[in-house]
Amino acid sequence: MKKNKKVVLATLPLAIIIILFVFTQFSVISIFPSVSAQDSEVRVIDVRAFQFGWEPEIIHIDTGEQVIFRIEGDKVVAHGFYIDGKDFYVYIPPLETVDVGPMVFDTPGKLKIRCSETCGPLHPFMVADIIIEPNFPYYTFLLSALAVGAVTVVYVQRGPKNKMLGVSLDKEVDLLRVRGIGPILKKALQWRGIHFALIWPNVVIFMIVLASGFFGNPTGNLNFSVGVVWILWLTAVEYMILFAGRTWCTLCPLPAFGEWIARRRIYGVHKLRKPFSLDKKFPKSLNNMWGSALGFLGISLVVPWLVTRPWVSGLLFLALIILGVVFTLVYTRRYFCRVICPANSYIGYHANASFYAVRSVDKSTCDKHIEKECMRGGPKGYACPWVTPYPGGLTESTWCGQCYECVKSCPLDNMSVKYRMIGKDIANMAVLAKRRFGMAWVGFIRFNLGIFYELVFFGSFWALKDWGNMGIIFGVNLFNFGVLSPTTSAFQMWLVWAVIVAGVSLVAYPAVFFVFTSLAKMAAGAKNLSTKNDVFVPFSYALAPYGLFIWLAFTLNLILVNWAYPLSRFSDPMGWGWESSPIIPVEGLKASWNPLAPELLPYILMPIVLIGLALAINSTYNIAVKLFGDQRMAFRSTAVMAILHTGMALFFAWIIIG
Amino acid sequence: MSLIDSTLLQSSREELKKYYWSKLGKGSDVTKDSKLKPFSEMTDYVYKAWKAGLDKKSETHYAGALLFDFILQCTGRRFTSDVVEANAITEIGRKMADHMWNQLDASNGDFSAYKSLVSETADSLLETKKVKK
Repeated sequence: MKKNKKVVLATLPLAIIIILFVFTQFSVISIFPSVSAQDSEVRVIDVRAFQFGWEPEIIHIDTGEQVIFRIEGDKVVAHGFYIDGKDFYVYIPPLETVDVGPMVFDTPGKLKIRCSETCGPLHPFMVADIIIEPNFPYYTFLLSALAVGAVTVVYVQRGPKNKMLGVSLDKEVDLLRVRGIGPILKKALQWRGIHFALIWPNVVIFMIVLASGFFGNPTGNLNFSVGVVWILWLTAVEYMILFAGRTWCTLCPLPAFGEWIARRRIYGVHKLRKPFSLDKKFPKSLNNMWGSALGFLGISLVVPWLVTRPWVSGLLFLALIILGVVFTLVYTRRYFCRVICPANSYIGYHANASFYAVRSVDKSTCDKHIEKECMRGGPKGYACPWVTPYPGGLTESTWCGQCYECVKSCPLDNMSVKYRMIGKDIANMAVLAKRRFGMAWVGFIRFNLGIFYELVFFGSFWALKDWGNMGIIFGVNLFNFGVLSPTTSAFQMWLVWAVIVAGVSLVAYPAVFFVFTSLAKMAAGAKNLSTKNDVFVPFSYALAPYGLFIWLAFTLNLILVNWAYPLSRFSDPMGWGWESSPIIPVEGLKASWNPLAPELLPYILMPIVLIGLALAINSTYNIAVKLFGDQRMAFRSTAVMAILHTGMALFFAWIIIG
Repeated sequence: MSLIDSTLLQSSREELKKYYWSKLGKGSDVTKDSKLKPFSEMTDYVYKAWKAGLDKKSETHYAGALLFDFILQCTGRRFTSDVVEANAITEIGRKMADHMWNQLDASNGDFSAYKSLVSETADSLLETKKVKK
């Protein structure tokens, strides 16, 4: 009976979302009956298209109202007029005005106007909002967020022990010992050639990325380096993190060149030769998350250029390859990955919220084993290239790059791959990480940028995009990179953008988080603990699952709307209009832009964010239990932090449908 | 070059007997060479590593792991779940490799002297020759 109650409580948030969704979709029309199309007058809405926005940015329409969009074309380029869920694409030639309609919007909510003709680098993000009043789904989403927050708080009030949303954190599946697939997987991971076999295709893809970045079509969505990397890869990595931890790091070609040179081997274990490297000791003070976290933030400052200009992408990847080789030739092991790679910060951080982890089968066996080939290297595998202090004792995934050298080198067959509930290690690692501020700031940067990107790239505020873009309308490759020189006023606006991006991520949100942490500590009555030294960093680890789910939502939005761009790039990587590529000669891959269920996007994205919210609240509780050692204190502090986490979910709801 | 001290020799013999020779079975297939293969491979490695000027500490550890790896291979196994066995073999391997390394240092890499040291140690391990006191 008690068990049933807990299951009900755990599944209640999901149930609420489903009920409210159904209610919104099917009942709202009867509550707010639409005006009959025949009875109403036709309203003409003037819309102006320009690179890369629409004016007005937000259009309010009543449910059932008949409207005609009178679209004034751009002065120079053609645009396309597309509304989510409507089955038309209207071509808007330059200097012409086109009427679209009359049409009626029957369902309340928010739809996007999108440009359907490639009109320049920021074309995929040229959107405006149509809000169909009364925007009942928005209020439903707000209620859902409040309900999920409240129900999760009620759930933790009951004192679940070592559980995440009703699922025990003690249970885990050893994937290498699962009947059937286990032995095959084990054999594959213990095969020395696996790493090379997985990386090699990505090396080829990487060469295409560099070639297309420098020499391909200057417009982003028509170029492999942008279409594939910033739409397909970005999305794939986020979902890999959730389901397969740091699998991207297993596949990544960036450090491979340096590693092959340093080891003097492509895949074998080569002893009897010193590494081709200076083998210097890496400075201890720099061996932390700050480098890659600030690198990620630095990239974010120029993200509108990076994700739309092939040359900028090509330059970044070339720089990363060179840095990867140089770092490996100086320090031998994967310090490039640990402290430089911008992706390491978030992949490593969020891997702690993954279902997947490399762990020892039995830690006591590792403890008893004297030789520890995982640390020193052995005949079958190198010492952990990621310089993990003790792979056998791994309790977090932050620094484990999933190279599986420990799985290969262990003669006791004691390293394995575990599948378990999200957040199994978060509480333990959080309480031990009281002063790992670098990790906390990775959490803040990622969490805020996930929300900010949703606002910038899929929001209707054209000015935000333009500031980050420095007002430049041209696509760029190697031959015309000079056009990226901004005007003084555009550069000043970019500075405003940079201050917003960096200020929110580095200062404003951490400050708010600190205040809430302080209030949570007060609510818990933990007078002997210091907010700064004991509570602030541990509580920030709740952002590992929350931030990941925010990014899962953002990237799902990205791929569902723009899936055709990366797919087409496989048949024409350079964007030169090839009928079929000599590399992958499949003409069928040329796909037309056709968003998948864009009118349902808010209903797809919001549940993902709400799962993240519930995970964040439950993680906070688990951390607090370990930190305070008392369930009541943990509950009181969790209730305070839940207000902040729920507030952010409300803000996300406002962005996607408000 | 001086032979490995009798205590280490004795313990090495016992561990090899317990974890390796006893698993080879009894019959004409079990030759002196097959009994000594892991040891010979390990000593070969030690010489090569010494000659390559590598780091003594890490290479002697590696030699211990190598001895164990060859024993696993020669007994038709990829792994063992017995941590006591793993510890025992790698430990005697490391100590023997350490001794060999020191002798190479002392003789400045005299290969013929090293070969006779290895051969004498092998005989002593198999007790085909009386251990010099």
